[in-house]
Amino acid sequence: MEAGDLLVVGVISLSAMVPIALTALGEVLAERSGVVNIGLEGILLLTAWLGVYVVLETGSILLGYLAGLLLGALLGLMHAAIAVYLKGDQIIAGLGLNIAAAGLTALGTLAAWGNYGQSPPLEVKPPGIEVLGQRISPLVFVAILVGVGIWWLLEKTRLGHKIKAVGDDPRSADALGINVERIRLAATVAGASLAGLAGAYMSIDYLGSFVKLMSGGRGFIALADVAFSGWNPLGALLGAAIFGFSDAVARYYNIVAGTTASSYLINTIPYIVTLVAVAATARRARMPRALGRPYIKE
Amino acid sequence: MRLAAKILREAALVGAALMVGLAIGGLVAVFFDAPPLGFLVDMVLSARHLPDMVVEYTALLALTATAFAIPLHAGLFNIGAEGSFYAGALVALMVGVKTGSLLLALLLGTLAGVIVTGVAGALRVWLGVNEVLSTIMINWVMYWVMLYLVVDALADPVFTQRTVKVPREARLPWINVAGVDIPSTIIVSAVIIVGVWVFLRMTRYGLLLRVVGANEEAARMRGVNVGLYRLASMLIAGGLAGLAGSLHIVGFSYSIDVLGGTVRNYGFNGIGVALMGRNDPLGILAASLLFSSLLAGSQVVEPIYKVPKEAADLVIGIVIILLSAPTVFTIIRSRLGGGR
Repeated sequence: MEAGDLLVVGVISLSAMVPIALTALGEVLAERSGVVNIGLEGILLLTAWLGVYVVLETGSILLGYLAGLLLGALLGLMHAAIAVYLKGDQIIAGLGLNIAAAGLTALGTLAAWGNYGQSPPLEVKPPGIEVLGQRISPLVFVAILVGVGIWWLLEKTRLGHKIKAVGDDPRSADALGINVERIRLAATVAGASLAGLAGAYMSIDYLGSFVKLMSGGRGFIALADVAFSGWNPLGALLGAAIFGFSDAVARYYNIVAGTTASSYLINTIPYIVTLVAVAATARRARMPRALGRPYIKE
Repeated sequence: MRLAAKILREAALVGAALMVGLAIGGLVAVFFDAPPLGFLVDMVLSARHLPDMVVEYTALLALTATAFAIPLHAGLFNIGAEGSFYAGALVALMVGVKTGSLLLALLLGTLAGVIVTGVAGALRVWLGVNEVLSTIMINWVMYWVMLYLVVDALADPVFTQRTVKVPREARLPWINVAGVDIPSTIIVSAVIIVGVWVFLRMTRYGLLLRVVGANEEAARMRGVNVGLYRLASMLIAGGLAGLAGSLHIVGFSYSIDVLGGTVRNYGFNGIGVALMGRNDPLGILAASLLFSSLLAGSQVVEPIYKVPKEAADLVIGIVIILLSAPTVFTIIRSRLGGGR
């Protein structure tokens, strides 16, 4: 790969980084409050579908994003209801959402577009600035701003301290008069909304259409990024950049080489990078102590 | 009597969740202009037209569900049956073609499954890597490796839509039950499930495995090597899923199509089966049969009612979401039990 190619890959990386960054940042927020959402993959898929559907129906990209955000919030509300109020099993609820999302988007694709695999391509071009012949989406800057914003929220504000207290030691937080359930509900809904935004971005901006199972494990890569980051929003941005880069390398080689048998092997790169990154940092990571455990008052 | 009451309560819970899931399946039918009741009844009952498929799915799902259930008994969420299933299928196919030996194909296929899920177990025990993440990453890696091998090293030179076939001498013979030919994978599967049940309920190791999952601290204080039991649970799980993949190749499909459809989703559906079967061997067998009927039935009714077979996925996903919530009762009970 030559220097010029490397720059192009760098620019593609920025676009590839966005869905993982937004999803992981939302999940950092939720997990800091003690709620794990394994259903991020399903949220990405459902909101990717809805985003394209709304843009095709209305012609408005903004409405597409708004729909993704709202559906994300709604699914977050559902997860919070199970995880926070019904004290259900967070992992199992998320797994169920992923399976249901795969089924629902397949049904929706047939109902809306009359085929089993994909939507027609969007004709509205998403906004952005051109660099080296590649478009950089404004969502790249949104993702970075959200990362800094969540870092500021968690480290510099009273609300942030409450969120962390709820995730680390809900019993003491409760004793101090913090409403554990309400904080967890808010963090889960906010986190899932960001995943909704990421899903809409993937279909509206990154790909320009909806394709069956297009989330391709990114919800889980985002979960891995959260662990890699040590539950730190700035670390999650760095992690998303690394995963975005490996994704871009795979895409770039597939464009250059065309789809051959070996491009299937190149597709394994982002997943291997993710696994190695998480394995290399797992020992020093300090996760919220009450992560994944429902809080039951005595 | 307490046991009977417990079984009744669990069955009622699963039944209620299933009813809601099916009701939503009915709504889907309405959406696609099909009569909801006729669609649902036909989806569940028309599976009888495909007895060999139902039997095969049941055999495989019971194994992959057990691959989820055993690590869960030890406190781990193993999502890796899918990847181990691919590994088992690929290795069984390669070995079957190269050596023509049924036994070697099954053994090495199982071993491949052990290794794939074993990696996640080792990462968890020695490096503290969350097993949900590692198994999902490994699934994706195995998915692309599977597609690569299917279109490259294992490709059939004549029939380009599938791989080479396992030769006759390396195939598991079918059996005839009451005039119906069915794959004998179900027998292997049943024997293994019974063995696992005996191991979990009647041996000291099985008991300790469950102690590790129920109360890690208590297990540690008793001097149990928690890491070793967890690793063992993942190795067993990998073996079960690898065996399922191998059995599917030598006992039913004999080859893999170029899109990988032959081997996909058995691992993932196994998770649903285990959850619906409440992690109990008998529950898993019953849930496998139900899932298999839904999956086979949804394929039969697809061309009749023009409702996509993915309706079954939606029903299954919703049932799992519903079943996740009422664990509140289990949590409360275990808390009270811990305080004694």
